[in-house]
Amino acid sequence: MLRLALRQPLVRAPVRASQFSTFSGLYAKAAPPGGKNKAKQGFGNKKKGDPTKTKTRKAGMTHLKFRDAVRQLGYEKNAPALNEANFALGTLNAKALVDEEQQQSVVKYDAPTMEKLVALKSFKKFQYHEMFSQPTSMITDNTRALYEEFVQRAVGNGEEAESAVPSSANRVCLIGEKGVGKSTLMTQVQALALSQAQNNVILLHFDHPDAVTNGTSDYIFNPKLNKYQQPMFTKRWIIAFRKANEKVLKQLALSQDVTFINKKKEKTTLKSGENTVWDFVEQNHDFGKVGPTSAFQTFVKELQHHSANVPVVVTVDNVNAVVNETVSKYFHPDYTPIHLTEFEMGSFLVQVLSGEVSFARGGVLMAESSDNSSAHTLNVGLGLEEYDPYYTTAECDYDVASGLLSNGGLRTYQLANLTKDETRDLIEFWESAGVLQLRDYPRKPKAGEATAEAELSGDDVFEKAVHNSYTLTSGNVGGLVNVTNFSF
Amino acid sequence: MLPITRRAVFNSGVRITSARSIQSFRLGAIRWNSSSSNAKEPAQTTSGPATTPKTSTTSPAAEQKSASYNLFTQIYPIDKDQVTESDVDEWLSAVKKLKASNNQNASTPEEVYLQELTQQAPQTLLNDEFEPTEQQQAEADAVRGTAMPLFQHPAIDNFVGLLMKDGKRSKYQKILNRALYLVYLKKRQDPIEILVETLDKLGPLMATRTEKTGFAKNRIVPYPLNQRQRNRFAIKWIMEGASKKKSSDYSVRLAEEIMATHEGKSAGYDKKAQMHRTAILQRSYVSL
Repeated sequence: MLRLALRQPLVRAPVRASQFSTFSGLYAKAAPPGGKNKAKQGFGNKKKGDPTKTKTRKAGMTHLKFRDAVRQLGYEKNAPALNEANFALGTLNAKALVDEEQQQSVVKYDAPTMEKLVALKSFKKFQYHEMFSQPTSMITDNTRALYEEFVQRAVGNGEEAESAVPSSANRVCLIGEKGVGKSTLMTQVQALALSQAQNNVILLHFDHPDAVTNGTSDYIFNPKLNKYQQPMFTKRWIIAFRKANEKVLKQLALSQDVTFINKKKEKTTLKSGENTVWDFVEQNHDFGKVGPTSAFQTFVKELQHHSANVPVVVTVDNVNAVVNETVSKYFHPDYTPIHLTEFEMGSFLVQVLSGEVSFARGGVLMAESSDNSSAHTLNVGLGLEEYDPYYTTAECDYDVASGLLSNGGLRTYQLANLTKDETRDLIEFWESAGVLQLRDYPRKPKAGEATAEAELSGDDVFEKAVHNSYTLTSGNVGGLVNVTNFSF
Repeated sequence: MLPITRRAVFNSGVRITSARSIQSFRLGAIRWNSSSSNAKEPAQTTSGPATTPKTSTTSPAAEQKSASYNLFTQIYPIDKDQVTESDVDEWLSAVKKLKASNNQNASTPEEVYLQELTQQAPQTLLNDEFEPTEQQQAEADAVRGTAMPLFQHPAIDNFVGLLMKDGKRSKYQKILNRALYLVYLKKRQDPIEILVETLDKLGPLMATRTEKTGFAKNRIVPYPLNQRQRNRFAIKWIMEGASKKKSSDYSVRLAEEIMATHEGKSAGYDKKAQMHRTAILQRSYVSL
């Protein structure tokens, strides 16, 4: 009882006229006893515990989520190497594609091409490349069709480089169901363009163009251009671009003198004819400057200038994410949302897609994503759907859609699923690479047995796996991966 | 017992007189056949048989309408209440007669209908006998004697069942699938084999239960566990271990714990040892 009494609050609200006040001090807790030991307020008064004790950390390899874990933890190092001793895999190049004797279904990318594609971020998450020691892909009829329809038109047909057409006349959009291989085909096209032009081609790649509008970047207004610029996004994109195109850019002389202030606050002048485009994109830090700059405009002009000699291939993956949602997450000072075309990068994207900005030789390849909501802008822009005047802007952006339809319009390419023979080839490769686990159907364990016995019988089980996989997925590659590696 | 043909007659009579079936038939006819005679009908039917509850007898109007879509009723307008045994006998005799005559040159609608009815195809359909081809027979022989395959491996089934909350099986199946994929990526072996091996390593062999004796001291009696009980302990301990991992993704935590347990690093081994120790201490109470 005595203890209880001592624990009663020492301060009690006095009963007087002020009891009707809402002053919170009346109900404040009593000060903790102990005088000097009371906790000090502030940030610098962290209690120093026992120095011999180390901070307890939770066990485990990673804090990452599944999607990032498979990507970042270097699991591909555990896979058997795809070298000559293990696998006789060819490399993806234009010559082998044309030459019937060298045709192989599953191929890898050669080292220089791989380096460029990795820099461009062409290999995306959830493409399951971690199953192998390096990315592989399969040559299908889709690959051959795009080679003939797009690569040869963009880069030129071998020695007849002049057969290439302007990018505004060579715009193709890949469409198809989820998991059919649109992004992979885009990567194949990049590799084929590099080999067809013998690396004398400039690749511009937007792996996630929705980063322009999804509110993940800083943005400032450039009154001269009357556009918003996104320094962080632009800088990162330029870094990826210059890494992938270093060798080509070093061969291209600047067409005009350029003056800018570099990192050390020194005025730098690059002279036309002497300096190269590489010097410009490497030394000029204005791309990431938090302030109005015309660096990106100069960059585009240089590309257009050189495109007569060096073809420019623009690839835009996940295009419907940006085209279908043109109202961005950013706001004007008056709190109205900013439109896609009011951004410098967004405007460039739309202009390239619509052919307004054209390169003398080259092409624009875009691919829709199956993960985005289905607004109508892209379908209307591709001519697959008629514009309904009752559509709201959110449902269909008329200006963007009509832009896509202008300059002769876009061509679409509907990707086909694998045939059963192609499915067999792919699964055969997976089996040889050790990715495929062939198991018999599980059966009920008999009394005394620990688990069901597997009754493998070679070819029968393999053929059954092929048949089952194909029946379940209709030859959809993403589905095949799911069936073989994500179904237990 | 009536022969099949006779029952068919009665069934068809009932079906025709049902207003609901008339309605649905007519709607179907409008959808697929937009002829003017059919298109006019729905307006009449909405206020006709569909609204009247007395649908057991067929009105003359309904009969006339039904005649437009059913050849049988066109030829034999049947009222269920008025069909007699003699009618059926007459009908059957007509069929028999037609069968016997084997008349191929049908001219009237009645003859066409009866001729179609006497074709061999409907009879074969009624026949339930199935004769497998040689290939089908060979396939059947190959699997004869083997047990019926399960939907999935029993260990996986058990694991998902214990992971599952709120009956969301597919959600937890996906989590385990992803975890096993990570296990595969790290170990490059069949993840099911690794999982089964892990459960076998971790699962205790004996557990103890307390038996009341009725006086001061209760007995602690060891008893052996079967495979499923062993797996249950192991899975529960793996889940406990996974909850202490860092990642916010359950599949990643689970994969880490499965791999750690496979390497013999799980806290579950201490629990297993403790259970065995208790069982050994109380071995005198083992009842055989």
